[in-house]
Amino acid sequence: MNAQVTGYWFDGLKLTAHPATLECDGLRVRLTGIETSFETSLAHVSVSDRLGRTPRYLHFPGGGSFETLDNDGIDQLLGAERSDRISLLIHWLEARSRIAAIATLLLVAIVGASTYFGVPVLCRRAALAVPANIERSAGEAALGTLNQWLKPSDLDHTQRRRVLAQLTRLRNASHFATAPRLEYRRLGTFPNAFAFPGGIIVMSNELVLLATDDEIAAVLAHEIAHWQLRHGLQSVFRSSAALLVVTTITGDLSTLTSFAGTIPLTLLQRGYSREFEQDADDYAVQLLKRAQIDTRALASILSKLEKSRPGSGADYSYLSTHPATSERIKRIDPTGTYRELLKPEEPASTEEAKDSPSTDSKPPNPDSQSTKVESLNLVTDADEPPSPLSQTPPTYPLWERVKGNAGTVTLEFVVMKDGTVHNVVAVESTHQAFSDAAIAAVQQWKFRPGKKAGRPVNTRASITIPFTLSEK
Amino acid sequence: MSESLPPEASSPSETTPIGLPNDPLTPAATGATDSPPLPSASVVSAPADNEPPLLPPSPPPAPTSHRFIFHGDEREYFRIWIVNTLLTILTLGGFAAWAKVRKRRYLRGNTELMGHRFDYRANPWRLLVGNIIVVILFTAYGLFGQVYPMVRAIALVIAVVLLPWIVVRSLAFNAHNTTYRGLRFYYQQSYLGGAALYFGQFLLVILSCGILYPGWIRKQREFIIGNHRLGDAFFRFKAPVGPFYVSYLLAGLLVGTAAVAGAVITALAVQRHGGKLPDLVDLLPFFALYGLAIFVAKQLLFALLFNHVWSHTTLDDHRFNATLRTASWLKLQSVNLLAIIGTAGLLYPWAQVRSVRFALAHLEFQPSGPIEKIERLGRADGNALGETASEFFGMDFGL
Repeated sequence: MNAQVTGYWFDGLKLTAHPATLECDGLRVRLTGIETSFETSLAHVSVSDRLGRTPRYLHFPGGGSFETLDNDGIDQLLGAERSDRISLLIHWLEARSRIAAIATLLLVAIVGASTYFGVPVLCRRAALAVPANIERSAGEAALGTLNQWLKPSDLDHTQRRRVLAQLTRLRNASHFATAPRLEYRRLGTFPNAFAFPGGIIVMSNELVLLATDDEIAAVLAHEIAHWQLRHGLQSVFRSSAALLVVTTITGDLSTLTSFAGTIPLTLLQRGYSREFEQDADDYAVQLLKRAQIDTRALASILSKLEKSRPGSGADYSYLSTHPATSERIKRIDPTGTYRELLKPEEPASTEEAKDSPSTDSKPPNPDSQSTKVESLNLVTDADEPPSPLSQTPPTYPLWERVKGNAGTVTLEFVVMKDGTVHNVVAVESTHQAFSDAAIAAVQQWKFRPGKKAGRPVNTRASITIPFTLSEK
Repeated sequence: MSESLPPEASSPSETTPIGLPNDPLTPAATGATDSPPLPSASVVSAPADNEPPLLPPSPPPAPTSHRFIFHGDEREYFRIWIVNTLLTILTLGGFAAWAKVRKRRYLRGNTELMGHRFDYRANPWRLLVGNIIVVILFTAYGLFGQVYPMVRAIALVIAVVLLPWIVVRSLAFNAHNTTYRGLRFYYQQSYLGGAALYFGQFLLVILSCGILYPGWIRKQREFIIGNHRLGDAFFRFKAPVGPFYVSYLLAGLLVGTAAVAGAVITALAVQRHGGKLPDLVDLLPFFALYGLAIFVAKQLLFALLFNHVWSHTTLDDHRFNATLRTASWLKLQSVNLLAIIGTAGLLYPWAQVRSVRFALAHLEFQPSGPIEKIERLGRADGNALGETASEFFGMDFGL
């Protein structure tokens, strides 16, 4: 085999590049150049790993090196046994598109799976391992941040004593390592309660005034559950785990510095996941049973809270920690005693109706992005009023949807002889965004035109379109 | 100070606020820190006797320009990146050192100047040691720091005192392991210089309420570039400070305007729904605007300072010249940002290759004479204490 590889020889002393060729008989390497020629044992030469189409280097004793772009030539010349097997394997993996595709899928799957399965388990363990004093200081930091937005409570002593009495009832029935600390705040619009790590339970004035004694006990039990199960800490760990994954992949430590700063905010904004709520409900039910308190109190306070929540969630909507109330009530109280509280309009609720528990008219599908069109009120002097052929429902404006705003729009328009709609104007509207959306939709509607004496005529009509949200 | 030249700039996701020592808003810094691969020189003209026969004896040295050429390929680098990232995860981070060396070697090994490539020869085992130390320190800090607040304070002091040392070490390590035509780069380590820069002068910046910050950035460039050499050829950085101030002023105005505009939008939104406090949704446009402004400002600074810094960098008498057009760079980075966000980071290597190629295509080397005259400094240089030390203490904290 008289194979040779051409490249350059560098002596390691100067920048000069000497064209050279390299030969190898399996034991010895021979380098031939214009000025330099020598022979040395292959064992003394170290060969760089193959990497893409980057040049390959042979490093000789004494600091000289041979550079070549002929990767295949080097591999042939020196034989595979010269490079170590691991680096050969890595190059083999790197050089194949199919491997890259598989690696991409694997990476996505691993990151996805660990986010959805591994991380929650790890986070629970980690949260339970946190010492109590650290837990308490984390809770205090979070409360401190929250205090910027909350007003101090002016709740009188009688009311506070009521709450304390209920807490004592629960504590007598069960033993906690440390006593929960009660805090009262005014939230402004709607009643709520939060638990912070370390057993700090914040009750809003409105909640205390709204709830019966048993219901207060139920709320306390639920919040104690969040604390005891360390849901707040778990949320923090979960959101920082994502950051850690990113850090691992990009290998950038500097993002870690932002980690500390995110903790109080995460506590506030995350809201508990549905799974946390269910766990807390189950725990609360147990606790209530042990304290011999009617567990239906939890269901009843949940439905009360749901009802008192204003249609517009603009204030503190991000503090809302309780999703899917109807489902939770069903879980706590399968007999359904309090279910109808959620929909007072239809006391004799049917089974199908129980998933849309709100007071005003709702779209049948709670998640539907659009509104239902009702009450086509036609003002017309036609003998035969126009009848709708197609009615595109208006799109719920995303912005209002996110903010939890609901409203109605009343439109006036003209149904032309050809069945199209013209001159759509909003005569009444709660939000600009709603009237824009409604007008855009109505303009696309098609009618069978109204008739007078058997001939199609232009007809004036008006319609009221409600925009309502599901209870999210 | 990781990766090679512009990759830092290509990570648009980082949004460190202005003013930190490792501020990504000082992208020129990145350029220069990683410059070791670039600043090397050679002159085509004189070395006719030694040069490969490929190059015919060139005419006597008019100020020739040699562009940096990047041969990297998006697909190839993606394959390398994805395989190494996966291996890193499968080995729970153990492979990270090898992955880092391979990625860096790919970027340097594909960078060509005057017919030859750069090489990165770091020993992954040494990086692994550095990684393990970092992990141990962070874990210890996390565990003990929470329980004993004193530990936190002490650790902070130690970290601050060590900062210049860490920076200098990383620079030395990376320089030492970067070669061109068989010669190593070298970084003259100076802890005192680092301390003066990061403590003394940074204190002045704070006292001046940040007004001196652009000047400090220039000092930083000078400290980093000026202590590099290739063999017996020394890098010098002498640049007027004006363009630094202008660039940072522009970037600051941009970010400031965005912040004000965002605040106004938020205020209007709050007023519209009559609330007294902004909720999160109201704040979204503010954050969006602000984040975008930070991104644009960062890339703007990179482009402006890239040109300024390189055009005032010399290697002995050899010069560099950079002609990166700000608009094209912003366009490139915007596409990169969209691609990275759109693919949840999977196209990061793609963006990196594009950034490096683009930046290098606008950088040229103008030798003043034969670069073959550059030699290893001193016979015993290879074993000089400094280089041995940097080889022994292989640390790279990915700063």
